[in-house]
Amino acid sequence: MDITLQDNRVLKILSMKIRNLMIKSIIDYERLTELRLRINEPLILKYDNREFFLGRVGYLTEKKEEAYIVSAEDIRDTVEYISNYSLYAYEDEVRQGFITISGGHRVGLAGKVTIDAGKIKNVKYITFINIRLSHEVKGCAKKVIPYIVKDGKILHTLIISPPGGGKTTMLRDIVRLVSDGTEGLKGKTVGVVDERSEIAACYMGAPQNDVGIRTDILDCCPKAEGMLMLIRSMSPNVIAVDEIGSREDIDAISYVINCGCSIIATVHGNSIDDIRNKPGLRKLVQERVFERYIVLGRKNGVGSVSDIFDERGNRLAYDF
Amino acid sequence: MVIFGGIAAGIKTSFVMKKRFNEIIELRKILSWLRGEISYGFTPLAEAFSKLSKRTTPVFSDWLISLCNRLFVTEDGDFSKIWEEELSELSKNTYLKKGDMENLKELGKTLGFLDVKMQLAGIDMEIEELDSKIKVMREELPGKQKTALTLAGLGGVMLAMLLI
Repeated sequence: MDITLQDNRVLKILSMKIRNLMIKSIIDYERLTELRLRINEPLILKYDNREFFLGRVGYLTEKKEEAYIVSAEDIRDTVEYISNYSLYAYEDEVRQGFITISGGHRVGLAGKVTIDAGKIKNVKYITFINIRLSHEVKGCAKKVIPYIVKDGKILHTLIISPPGGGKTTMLRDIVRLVSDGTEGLKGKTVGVVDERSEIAACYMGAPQNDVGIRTDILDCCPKAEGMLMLIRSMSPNVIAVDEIGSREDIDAISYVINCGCSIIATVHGNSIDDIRNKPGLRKLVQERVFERYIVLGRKNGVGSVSDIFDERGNRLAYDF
Repeated sequence: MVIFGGIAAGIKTSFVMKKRFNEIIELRKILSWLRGEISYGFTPLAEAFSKLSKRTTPVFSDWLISLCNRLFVTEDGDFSKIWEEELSELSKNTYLKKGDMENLKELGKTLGFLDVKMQLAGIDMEIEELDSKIKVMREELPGKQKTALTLAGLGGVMLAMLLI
């Protein structure tokens, strides 16, 4: 089986033992969404939205007794490979609990946390690893574009979904379509604050994902500061950010909107009600700052749109 | 012929000493650039080696490129093993002595491990070691080169006399 660049990016961060078993298992990486490595426990994969164990001789199985057990050596080698033998270069990321690797895949880390002056200093013994694979689904946002464009202007939009629900994938495709232009929409300058390198998946500053021809990216930059920087430096028509929530993010969004820019953001949640219950975001909902809410669900598969609402909470579309 | 042979041997010894001195200075430069890459940019080792390879002499450049390639491939287990193997390759193409290599080997045990402070401490220790070698060599090298030339020349003359 041929291994594509995308597959290889995932494989090359795994220990050689696991890597060889994965190659033997003939996995379609487009259908693989998650890998979980826990010390002395079976290796679990989320494949086709179902949970499987990686078999000891290289196949996917649902039987625990046939599963490959992750060793301390597997974890150690994987951590070395994830950080490219340079864990020191990812101190901040490790403190936050995850590292984004080439291709935009997010690697969550857990283990023994060391504390200094009441704050997390580091994760000392990394013994749990969760690899979430990023998938570029070109065209997935095409159906929502007509709902977020009015008179050629992009409406302030909030994409809502639970973790792993496809909001970053949706945001990335919206950015691409808005930047390149699509049916009924002329291309616009888009500024992306990619705090976790998940939207554009920049490697040494160059985007690995297609985010459009008129897109400028601030990679690994805190969202609030990044939004203000982009306004000052790149004069974008649209600003896109992933996973907003902090007080600083909310203030920055208010500033962006007052500067005449459109904002497209994502947030964790299941519905608009969830957002209304979040202290900072509640204010933006009440003030009707966002003109469109796109709620993603799993009814028609990951990333399917379950509802689109306007600023008053009127449903404009559902289940498509 | 024998006299010229002796003189040639002296010149070669002197040349090797000078080459080793230059290589130690180059190595010191590489380490201080590496220090900068780590402390200023938090640059991962593979990326730092790739950048440094473009700024140094061919011997070290080839070594750094080879290191960088092996780190990118991620097939060879832990860093210190790769570092050690690549050092033994470097030793085939360099004038550095066994002792110089042993110090570099030690550095491989701290690189890539733990936090930035640990990296810098390891590099600083090696730089300190190189600095003291450079200082001693700077003072002693001209004298040693002269001695090597003189001894080799005299040796050649004596051997020639014996043969006559």
